[in-house]
Amino acid sequence: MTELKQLVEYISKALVDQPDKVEVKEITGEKTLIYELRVGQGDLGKVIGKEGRTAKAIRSIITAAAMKIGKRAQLEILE
Amino acid sequence: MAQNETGERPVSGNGPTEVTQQPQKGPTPESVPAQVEKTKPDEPTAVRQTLQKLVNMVGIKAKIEVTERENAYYANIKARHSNGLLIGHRGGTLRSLQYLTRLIVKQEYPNALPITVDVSGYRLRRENFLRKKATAVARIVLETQREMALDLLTEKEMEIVRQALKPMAGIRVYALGTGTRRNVIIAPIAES
Repeated sequence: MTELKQLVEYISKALVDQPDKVEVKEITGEKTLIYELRVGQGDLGKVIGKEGRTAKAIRSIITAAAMKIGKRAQLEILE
Repeated sequence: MAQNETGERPVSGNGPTEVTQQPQKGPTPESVPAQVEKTKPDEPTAVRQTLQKLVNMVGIKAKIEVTERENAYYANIKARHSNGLLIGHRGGTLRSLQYLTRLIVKQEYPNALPITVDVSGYRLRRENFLRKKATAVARIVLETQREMALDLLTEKEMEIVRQALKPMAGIRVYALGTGTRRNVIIAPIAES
């Protein structure tokens, strides 16, 4: 498991009510890393936040982490 | 650096920080109260541990110091490399780190004090830079009697600009647009 996936999992699990329902799928491309995040029912708002602020913050941090390893990261929050 | 001369008192979250490459390992031994295993760490320790985990998982080794001042925690990240990466474009990554650290700590400690996250004193440097820039731009505005725009600033940054320009007569400061980033305009009073 990469550090980035851990990062997405750690943040999501820390914010939701049902940490065991958090699922992160990593799709690795040559230059891009895509993370598909699924959370338990009712927890969607917790990872998105007011006006998408939380989602934006998570994205900003994984972008920095990906830059460190010379890649691009994308976070998709799935319903 | 300047942080230690401002008379803040160190708090218990300030013990030597072990930089682990396996953030999942949990709290370092010295940060866990010895008596009971399940005791929650105190607030500053929780702040430090949360931020340490985030920074480590970004792939950066850093030492984090948490101090308490003016009813808020000040968490300074000291990394040997990649300081710029943690700060991001005009502090964007730093703001995100601060926002998420606050959010995560608040889950366990709903009444926790506000947290300011900094990278090697960046915030103070940025403040000084903004003051200088605002004053310089204001002088040009006075001379030319034309308004000028500063870059997109956060609300806090705009407040710094306002404070810096308070003693100057003949100019006013206003913002275009709303939200987290606003275009700050310095204008001559005569023309408005």
